[in-house]
Amino acid sequence: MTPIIVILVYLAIIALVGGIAFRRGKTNTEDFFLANRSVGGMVFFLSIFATNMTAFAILGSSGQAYRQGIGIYGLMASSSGLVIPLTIFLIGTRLWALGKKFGHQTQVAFFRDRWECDAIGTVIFALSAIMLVPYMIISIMGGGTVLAQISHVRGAAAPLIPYWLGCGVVAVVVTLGVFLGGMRGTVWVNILQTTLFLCFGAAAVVTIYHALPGGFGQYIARLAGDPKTRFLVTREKMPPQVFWSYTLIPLSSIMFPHMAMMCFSARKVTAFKRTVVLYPLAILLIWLPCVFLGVLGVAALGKVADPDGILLSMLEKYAPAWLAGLLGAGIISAVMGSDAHQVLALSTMFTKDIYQHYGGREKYGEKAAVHFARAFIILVTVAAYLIALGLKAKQGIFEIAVRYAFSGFAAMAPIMVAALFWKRSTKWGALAAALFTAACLLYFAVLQNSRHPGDVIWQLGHGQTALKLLFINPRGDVSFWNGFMTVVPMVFGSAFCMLAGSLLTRAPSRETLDKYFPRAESQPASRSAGAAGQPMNPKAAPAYNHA
Amino acid sequence: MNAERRGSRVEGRGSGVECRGNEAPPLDTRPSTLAPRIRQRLQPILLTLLVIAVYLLHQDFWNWKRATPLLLGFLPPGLAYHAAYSILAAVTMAVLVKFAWPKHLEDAAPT
Repeated sequence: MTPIIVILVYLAIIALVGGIAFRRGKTNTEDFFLANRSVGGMVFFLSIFATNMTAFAILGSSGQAYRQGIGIYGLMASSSGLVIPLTIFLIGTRLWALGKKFGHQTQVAFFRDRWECDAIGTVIFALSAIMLVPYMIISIMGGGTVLAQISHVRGAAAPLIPYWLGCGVVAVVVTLGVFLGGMRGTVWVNILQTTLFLCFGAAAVVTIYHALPGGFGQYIARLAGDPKTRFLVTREKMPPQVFWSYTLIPLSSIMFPHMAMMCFSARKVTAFKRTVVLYPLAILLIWLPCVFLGVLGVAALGKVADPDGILLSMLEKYAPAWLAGLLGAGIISAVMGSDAHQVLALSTMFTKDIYQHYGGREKYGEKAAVHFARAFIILVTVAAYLIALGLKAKQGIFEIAVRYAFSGFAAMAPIMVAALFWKRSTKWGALAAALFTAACLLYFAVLQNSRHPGDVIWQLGHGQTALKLLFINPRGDVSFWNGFMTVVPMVFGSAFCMLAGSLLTRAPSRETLDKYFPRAESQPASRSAGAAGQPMNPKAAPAYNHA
Repeated sequence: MNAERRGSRVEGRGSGVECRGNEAPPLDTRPSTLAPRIRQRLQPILLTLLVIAVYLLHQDFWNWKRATPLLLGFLPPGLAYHAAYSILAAVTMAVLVKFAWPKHLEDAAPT
């Protein structure tokens, strides 16, 4: 009972923070969606990190480590530790500058303006929304799982808070927080959440260490010594092709609408400095214990019914009830923090890119836009909640996220790169890349659900020497040539579509190019200045896309 | 050095040159623009190579089947390597912030 009380108190605090943010807020959309672009320094780092610290990172990683071993850390965490800060450094800073200069609040608004085309923005909005909803669903599922597990009293047939109710509680608290506080409330809650999770997580690891007779080493040595479990402390069963393929997945991060929005919300571009340096270390602090405890769970607990809940099972067994409650609250808070950002991003996109773009503001006014955003938040959350209930029995948290959200957003990264760094890129190239991504997602989802392990879908040649291009691997996943994940052809195919589509069509107007690539006009002067050894004056030619 | 050999006196770096009588005109002793220019060109290449090298180090095939020795008595080598890799990633980003920070973006203002 103690853990539930702790969590409920915590949820009340979250709602209170949302309420305070509501009173501090103003009734304009820039304040509601971007906190008036006033997020600074450490707050920016904690918030942008919390945005990415999802159910996937905490529950998914430990659950997957329980199934596949320590390789999960290298598979997702350490590659993310390099690729995500790199994308924030190269893309996030440019997005911030463009948002500040031209007032963009979403990436869709930027794409529309950059390529002088409404349709491209609408297509990317639709695609992003379709891919973001699964991400929201896993957050709600994660919250429901945690609450159900923590409220399960030993000996009882069912938990005090069943899964459906847990999902509902998380959905309601998130909706309230975002509904009232907007970006300001979300950011405040995120800071609280990230700090709490790091503190309680550290306390839980130390407690479990002391509770295990002989410490961690004895258990890990036992896993390493048993041929049946040795694969958990190596990567024997992890194909190198899959391991490499996963390094493309973190490209998705900057393409998630909530990440782009966070970039727009920074007060100064210097806020990115601390973020990109601390980000890999924060990933280390969160993921390493999660993965390690997931693997340790095999030796300590043996077989468990729900591997995604292994972290909580460990806490239940080895930590006192109050600490389990606090860490449970920390996990829920992390889950809700990312969910809040997703909900807010989706409502921002709807309000800005659809409602206002197609004349809603002129018709109903600025104040009504916030009301529309709030109505949209409720609608989307209810839909995500219902889907979360329906999907619980069918798929694990990890799989849903990777298949439908991460791969799709990663495949959209070439669109962003082209928009920022390639003058010659066109709306047709972007459209081709977006449609290619959508087609791939649909096609792979159909294959995933209609074919069986071992089925070959595309091959070159016949018999033993046939080259299998697309097939279903023994685990039931769609695989590309030689066992690479589908994210590989998706990212490279999308880049090719962007390239070919742009080269075959007419470039945007001179006016737009001058707007986004102002150095074009002053380049000869700048070059001659550089050749004479004179420093170039950045104020004279502010380039947003110059690497 | 060359300037002294030809009879001119150099008074401090970049502070000007004095000529005596019929001696040959002084050479331009301003600091050469070559070194900074080479550095300017080499720096992005070196930083790109650094990022590529760090990216490649992620594929630690040599740790694939190693289960021992356990670092600190409990961390399998593959996990310890990637924990260290995360620290390397942070150092790499610190280097990029130091040497490749897009300073020109700091002046962005609403139009």
